[in-house]
Amino acid sequence: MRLSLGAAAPAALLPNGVSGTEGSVRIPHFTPQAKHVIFCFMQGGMSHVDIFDPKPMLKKYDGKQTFNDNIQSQGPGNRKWLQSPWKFRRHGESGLPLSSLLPHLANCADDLTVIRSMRAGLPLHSVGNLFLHSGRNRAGFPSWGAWINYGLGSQNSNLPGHILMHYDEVLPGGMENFSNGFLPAQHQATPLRADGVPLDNLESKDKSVDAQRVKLDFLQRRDRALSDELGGQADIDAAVLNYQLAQRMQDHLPRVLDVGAETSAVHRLYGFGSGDPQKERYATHCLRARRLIEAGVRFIEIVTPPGFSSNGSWDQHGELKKGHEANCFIVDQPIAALMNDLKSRGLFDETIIVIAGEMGRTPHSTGRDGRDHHTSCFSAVVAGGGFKKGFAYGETDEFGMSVVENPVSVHDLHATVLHQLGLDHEALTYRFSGRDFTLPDVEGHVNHQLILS
Amino acid sequence: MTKTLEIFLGACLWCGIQGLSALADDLDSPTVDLSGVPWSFQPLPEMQQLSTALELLRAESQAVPIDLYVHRKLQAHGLAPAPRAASHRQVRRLSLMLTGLPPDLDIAREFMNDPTDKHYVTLVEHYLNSPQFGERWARHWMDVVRFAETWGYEWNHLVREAWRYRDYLIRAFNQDVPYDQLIREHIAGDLLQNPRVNMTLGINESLIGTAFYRFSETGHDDCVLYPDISLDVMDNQIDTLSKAFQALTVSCSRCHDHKLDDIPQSDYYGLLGVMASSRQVIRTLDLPHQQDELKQQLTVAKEKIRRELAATWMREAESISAERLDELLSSQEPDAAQQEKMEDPLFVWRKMTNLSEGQSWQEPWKAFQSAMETEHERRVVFNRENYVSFGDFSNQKNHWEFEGLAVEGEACFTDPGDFSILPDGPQVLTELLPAGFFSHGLSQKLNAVMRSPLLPENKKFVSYRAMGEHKSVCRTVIANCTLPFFHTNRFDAPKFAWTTVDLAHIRKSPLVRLRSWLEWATALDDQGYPVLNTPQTEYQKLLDNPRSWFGVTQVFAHDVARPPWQELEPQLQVFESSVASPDALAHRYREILKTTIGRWSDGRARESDVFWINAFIDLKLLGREQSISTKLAPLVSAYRALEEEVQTPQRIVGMSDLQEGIDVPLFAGGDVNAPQDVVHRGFIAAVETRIADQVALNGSGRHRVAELIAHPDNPLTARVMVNRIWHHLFGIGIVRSVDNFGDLGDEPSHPELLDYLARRLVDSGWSVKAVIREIVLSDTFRQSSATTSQGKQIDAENNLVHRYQSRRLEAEVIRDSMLTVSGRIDLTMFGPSVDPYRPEDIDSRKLYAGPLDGKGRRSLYLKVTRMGPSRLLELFNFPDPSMTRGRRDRTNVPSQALGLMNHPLVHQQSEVHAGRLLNEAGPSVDFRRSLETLFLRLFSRVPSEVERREYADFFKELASKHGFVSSEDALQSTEVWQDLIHLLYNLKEFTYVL
Repeated sequence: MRLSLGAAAPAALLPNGVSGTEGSVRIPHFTPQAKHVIFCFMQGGMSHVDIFDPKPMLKKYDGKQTFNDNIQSQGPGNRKWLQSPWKFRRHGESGLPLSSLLPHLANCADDLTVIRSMRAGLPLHSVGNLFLHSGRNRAGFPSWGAWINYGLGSQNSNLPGHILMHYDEVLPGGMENFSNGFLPAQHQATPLRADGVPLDNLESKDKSVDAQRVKLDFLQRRDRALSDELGGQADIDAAVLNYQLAQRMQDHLPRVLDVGAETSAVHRLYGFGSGDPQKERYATHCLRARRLIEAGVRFIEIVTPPGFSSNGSWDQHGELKKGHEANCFIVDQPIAALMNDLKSRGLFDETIIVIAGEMGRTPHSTGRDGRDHHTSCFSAVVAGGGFKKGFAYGETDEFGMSVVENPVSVHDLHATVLHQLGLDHEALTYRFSGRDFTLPDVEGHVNHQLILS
Repeated sequence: MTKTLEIFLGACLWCGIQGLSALADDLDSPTVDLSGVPWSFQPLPEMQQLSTALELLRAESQAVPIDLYVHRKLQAHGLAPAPRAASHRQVRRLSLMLTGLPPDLDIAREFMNDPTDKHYVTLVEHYLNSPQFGERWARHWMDVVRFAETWGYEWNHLVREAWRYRDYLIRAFNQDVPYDQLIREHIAGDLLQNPRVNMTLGINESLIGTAFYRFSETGHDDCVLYPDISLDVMDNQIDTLSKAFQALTVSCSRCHDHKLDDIPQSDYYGLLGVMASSRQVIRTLDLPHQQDELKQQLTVAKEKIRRELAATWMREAESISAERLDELLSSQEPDAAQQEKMEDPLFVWRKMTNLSEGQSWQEPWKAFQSAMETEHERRVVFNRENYVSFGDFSNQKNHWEFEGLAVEGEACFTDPGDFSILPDGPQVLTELLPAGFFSHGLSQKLNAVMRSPLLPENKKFVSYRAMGEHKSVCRTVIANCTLPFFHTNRFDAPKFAWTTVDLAHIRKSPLVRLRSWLEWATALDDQGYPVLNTPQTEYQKLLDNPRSWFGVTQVFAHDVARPPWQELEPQLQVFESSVASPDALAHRYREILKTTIGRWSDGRARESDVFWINAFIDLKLLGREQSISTKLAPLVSAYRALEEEVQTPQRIVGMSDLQEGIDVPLFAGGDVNAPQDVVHRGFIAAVETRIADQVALNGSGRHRVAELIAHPDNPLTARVMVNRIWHHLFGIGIVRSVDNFGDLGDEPSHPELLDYLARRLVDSGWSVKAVIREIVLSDTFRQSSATTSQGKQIDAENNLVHRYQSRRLEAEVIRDSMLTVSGRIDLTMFGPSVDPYRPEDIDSRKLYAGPLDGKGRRSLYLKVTRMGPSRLLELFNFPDPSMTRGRRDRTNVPSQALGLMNHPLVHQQSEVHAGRLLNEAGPSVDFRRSLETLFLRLFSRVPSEVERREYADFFKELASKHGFVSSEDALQSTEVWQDLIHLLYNLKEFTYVL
């Protein structure tokens, strides 16, 4: 039995009688608006009041003592309002306000939904990262990429369905952020790095392609013989097929990831050649993400290149100006390019792009150039995949301290993204440890105001 | 029947059966209606009942009980058991299942030549008694207790000496420690009347068991702001405890009554009380009095130093005169503020000698005396009125808890005037010590921990006077949060200071109020040490440095916002009678000092004596260098030589009880801000009601929980454990959901067999080895794994065990097998773990690079690091240590193929193996013989003639790919053999148990 490219992979051995298999498309609960997700994770926490949520009051009260003694934030001390060092302007026909930090994304303003009323739990990196990824404060639960891949399966059996684009660093919360948790292990993120060999064990160490083929052919014969000797062993037969798939991945993945195959115009669009090595890596990831989406990958997460803090690139307790400017320089152009590129290929509407950190940053500070952790309100961006365009949702108070209207929880965001993918967040369950688990647990509502009807 | 019994006894497996001739009607006399009770809660039948039923079965067959149960079921489904597996498969299967390693070449060859039942039985005993048996079964249990060696979260703190728990399990499984004993040790090993001791290591073994609670992910953030942090840790502990021993999912009841099982929310909060009543600590494992002799020698050596110091100081004190004092003071760094304080020992001297020339001393003398007396009195009254002693730690009373080698023999509770000899340098000591608790009286290598009772709720502050060096710490442990850098005070100077702890946090939330205490600890006894990002070598240095100490003299509770005033009693000694000149005052100081040195020399020093001697040490009048007397240096050297021999403690994370224990409120919806009625500490009610004996509640209640779980009436305990054993031996549990015997779990495929094995476990004295022995001796275990069309049709999932379940081996077995056959394996047992292979250190996560081959050690000695696990092991479903994983995933995905094709370790070990092979083959390589050796090592068999031909052709093909034309040259080539071996490592015959 030989498999052709793109055919269904052998059924993996799954516990608990789940029928989902790697490489097979599963039928969603209802008609999906989108098929893919690209999650641009801004780990450490982007400052909402400096990028997405303009607060003129901060200018008025800049340097003045905060009035509320009960301001819950990291660290004690003398907290004063801090105005944004950046100017906001309205963009596009929609007039969506964005700060000068994101000049390229500003050109895409009419495609964005800015959720200004995001809320998360504890203002801590590890908890926040795990919560944003899995809807839980603790490690051990499936990442949303794993859930989505479990729910929909992969469109391309030669590629993993859940990909993490990284830089060999370990974020707070650990690799557990990208874990399959209790879901079958093939749903965990496959990590791809920007430099060098993108995936561990991808590169053959055999003398030549030919030598490898000789070995694998012999291997297959011997394994088949063993299976036959034992009356036919489905598990061994499946493992034999996996070697074929592996070989194809070896061949296929480098080609999919080869950004050199793109024109110099595309390279310019994504911001290659800026001289900033981190931007080069981020642009590589973004361009590869587009190529992977074309190849049918379900869920791609791109993390921000490490820079200013081991707790997350955006964690600017100090050096806010320097840090946020550098980070925005790195991510702005590649993400905007990715959106335009997807659009020009007709993939934008079937791809959900999420731009979010695990928290926002305090509108006040103990210093003059830094902001601390803030989870009672922050901003996230969603685009494509049937989300509204040129739209700001939710309202925060005059200082950007808390949500006054239309709150959106992390669970709501998860539920809404699942919904756009055709998945009912209450029906997408997995039985483990005595109960049926879902991504948003017992919480989470689809927010229909965020999506095009 | 006698014959049957003989067979059983001969096979060494049937010693506990009694009453084989019991009457059949015993079966038909149920006294309780159990119709509504779920199967797993039904009482475990007595062996007598089981035997009777077995007798009926045995009328038809001579098989052993396990086979009787399995065959009957097969028969009922129209299936026959599979024939015996090929002998090489049997020996390989046995070795892999019992030890996790492939059989040794000689064993394989011998069994090939003599594949008899008798030989098999010998091999069973061989493997059961192999040291590697314990390693294999320890690792199985480590999945159940989510064993991990770092705490994850952000900084990935090291779980202190977690590897000792792994070693403890290995020893326990090898010694076949009764399972009920292991249960008691896990749940309440610190509370056992008669703990197991290990004389070789000189430790209390039972204490190690409680480490199992402590492997949960643990954050370092502040539990005052975020009490959920500690609740999540306890939730994970309840989850692990209930799944590991009872296969019940109690943590489902955190927010509401269990939807399906009989586990109300109050069960959860009863157990939460048990957890909240326990302290999460680091335990010192060493048995007491092991270093008594050395300590005695140190005490004697120190006494000699005291005598010599005293004699020398007495001479030095003689030199006090007005001129000498002036000289000493002028050489001091001027500290105006200090000199104006009455506390200053020479305050009176400064004031009096500052009077203008010729002025009479009489009036000023009286004035100072009066002022100081008044001030002293004021301070005494203020202190008396505003401070209450917070417990008395001069002995182990009032719930103060002490631990560590320094505490033994109470040597750390010192009288005034004790001192500590510095471990190196020209100085003998720093200063004399007042009365108090000092960990370094004999050696800074002796560890100590001092834990206060719960902090008072009716006071605003607690203040303590302490000092220490080398990162010792005083931590305010709030809600059992053991890692925060908030609320900690690290000591790094031998200088006393008062520290005031604001107790406002205690009043924050109902749960927090109940659990907050102070813990002083030497550095390595602090769970949050080493703290931040450190490069690997630096980190190891910190862990390898055994020196750290602290001392505490007073702890007070109070409402005023400052620590107590220093009283002036010693200073007032100057005023005993009036003096009128500098010479007379100098003389007074001289007399005071000489008297104090005299008392100190005799070991009768008072607090005021310590004050004066230290004052003159500070003034450099009394020397503290070895050079002050020619006799000192040899004495100090002798002391230091002895001190070098002091053994450092063996520690591990664990638990201790917190006072009388506390009950916690039930939180509506699991929300800490919605406390309801307090729930009495307890266990799962549905289990408790099935246990006839009353078990008393003491302290935290852990001891009671242990007794309830280890109780023979407990319907779940034995069933859960034998099911785990079956699962590991067959790949499928009798109950597939090994961690869930509740409603959503699976039904047992062979309920009677499960009950029989459970009963065997209990009746054999909870012998795990006895159960394993009986299973691996059965035909069911030894049957072929070949499929048949009938089997596929009727029992596709092999629930009926109509054949042995072939399956991919676990990550560790694949890696260990490679190392074994390549010859690289280092079977050294025990000890600190080896960091898993990583190309680079990630300091910020304490993820350090380990060698590619893990130093050849078995995989269970690779460090289980949260945040970044061993990627090779993870590829083959090595579990994430977040939760109990009694049944691992067994995925079959292309990335595994890529791993075996391309991972550098696989290639490295192929090369090592090729080298070994050529080395063994000698100067002329015989392909036939070398291939045979390879086959025996990897597959426990020799190749067939067809295989020999195929492999010879394949070898030639490989040789040509490597550019060899001469087969002689190719046979000598490491690269070609390496290629062949690499191929063999990828064969399913190698990576599967068949």
